[in-house]
Amino acid sequence: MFDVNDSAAARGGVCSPPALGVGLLYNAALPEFVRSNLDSFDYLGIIPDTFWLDRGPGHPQRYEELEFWIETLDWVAASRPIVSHNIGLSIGNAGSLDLSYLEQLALFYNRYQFPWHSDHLSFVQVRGASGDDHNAGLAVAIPYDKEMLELVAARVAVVKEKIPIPFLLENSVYFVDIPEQDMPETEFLNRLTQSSQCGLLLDLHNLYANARNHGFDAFTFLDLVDLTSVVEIHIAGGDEFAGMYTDSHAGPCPEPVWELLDYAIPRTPNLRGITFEFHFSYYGLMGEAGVRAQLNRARAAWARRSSRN
Amino acid sequence: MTMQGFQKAMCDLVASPDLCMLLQESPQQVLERYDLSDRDRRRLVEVVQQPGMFVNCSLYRANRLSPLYNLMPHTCFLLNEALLDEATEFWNVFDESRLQYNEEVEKFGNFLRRRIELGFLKDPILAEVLEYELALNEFRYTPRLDVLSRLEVRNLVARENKLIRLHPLVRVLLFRHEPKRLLEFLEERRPLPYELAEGEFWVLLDGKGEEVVTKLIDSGVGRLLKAIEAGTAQSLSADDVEMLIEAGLTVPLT
Repeated sequence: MFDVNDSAAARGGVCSPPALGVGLLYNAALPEFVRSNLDSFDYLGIIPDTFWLDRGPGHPQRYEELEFWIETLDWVAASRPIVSHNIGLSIGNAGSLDLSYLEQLALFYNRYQFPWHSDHLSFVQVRGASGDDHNAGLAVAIPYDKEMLELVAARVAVVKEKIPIPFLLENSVYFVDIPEQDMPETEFLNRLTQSSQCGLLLDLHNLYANARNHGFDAFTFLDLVDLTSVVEIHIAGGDEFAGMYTDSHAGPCPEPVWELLDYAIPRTPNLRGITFEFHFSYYGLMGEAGVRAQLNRARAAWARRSSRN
Repeated sequence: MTMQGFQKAMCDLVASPDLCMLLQESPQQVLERYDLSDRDRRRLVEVVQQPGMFVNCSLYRANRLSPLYNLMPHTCFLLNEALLDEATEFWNVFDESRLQYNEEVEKFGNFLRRRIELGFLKDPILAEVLEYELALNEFRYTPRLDVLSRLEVRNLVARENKLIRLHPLVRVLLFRHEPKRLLEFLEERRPLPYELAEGEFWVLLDGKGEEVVTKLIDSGVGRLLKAIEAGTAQSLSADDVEMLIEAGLTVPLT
């Protein structure tokens, strides 16, 4: 069981991360918002991959930071914690783990001292005909098999050795049901957090989308997952496409996601933050007031958690 | 280990609705391309029957279209109904993308240049707008402050040799259609055709400040700067060289 209150030695000499509160995942529409609404969030979530150019493995100057983005980040970091939500580890990739990417993440960690960081339980890199890895074009969900469990657990160990802070993996959205899986998703998540000591980033919108698309009960899912492993919760919106509900991050959270949040909060004793995420193209529709309204509602939920802990 | 084969097959299917259809119609023809276990084969045959595979394929296309549409909106607007066909052809050629936005735009831009050269795309405005957006994209990903500070040092040591090149944060573009109105129409998403004056219009893009400044320049200066950029400028007087450097249009060649 992952428990942030476990002894430091049990988790590789890592101290418990602080309870931060409500966060906002940064995107291209937000530079002005974050500067004029610093009071609306307790921490800033970032996708570090959007702050640099990546010229690819083997390039002598593989990474180059984007000045304008870094400038805003440095400004926020002076007064708010930064939490990293990576998209490039591709932890379920059957090829090799990209160690130079991990080095780059470690550099960012050293600079911004994230209290924890996370990535996705999926793969985005795949070995191509050329023998090099390339981007799959979307995060592809992994089958919940024993072989995959072993692969991911081994990689979590590498990540934790390189970046000595809690590392979380996010439950994925998936649009196809892969048949003949060794175990259900809930069991996979539990076995992963128990065997690898990674934490869980519980994306309630992904859960809502999966439950809606594949016809299962999201509350039962929450009952079956070991929620003591949850350190961060993501909330977001989505929309219908081709007869399915997608994780498009289209504006505000739908009501069922708030209901799931209310249900999850008293059951997640190690929760350290709730992050609202949206796609930058919806900022025009939501506006400053719309984003603040989502953060305020998340804060009210967080306060209910705080009164219990 | 067949995990790699399964993942490769899944990704190829997600990237190609045609391959999904082929797998439905003639599974063996597709599956024999990959190193797969029996379970992998059964899984792939079943997932392509599910409606979610169509969603996966659409999301793949949306994710690859997104950088193009966000960073070259006018080009995409001008391509109009041809956009999806051109993009699909591009993805067939560059199927192993790293999905880095700057790279994706540059490669699609080069692909379109070739398509224009070969006569597949005939809109005379398209080439001009494409070059304009590719130049803006270059600035977007150039570490401006770093370039400027490196130039400052270089200028001190190299100013005496009188050889120059275009400033790395300056571009000069030739339009054959009146550019100000053209770009206004595109901003407004006004449907084609446009009534625009035709001629020789030189546009200077200056990316040295926080915002890129676009301005019309004299044809003589435009031609000269283009020649300097191409390395074909005739010998310039010391005064001209000094003036171009002072104006921030060129830098000493080191």
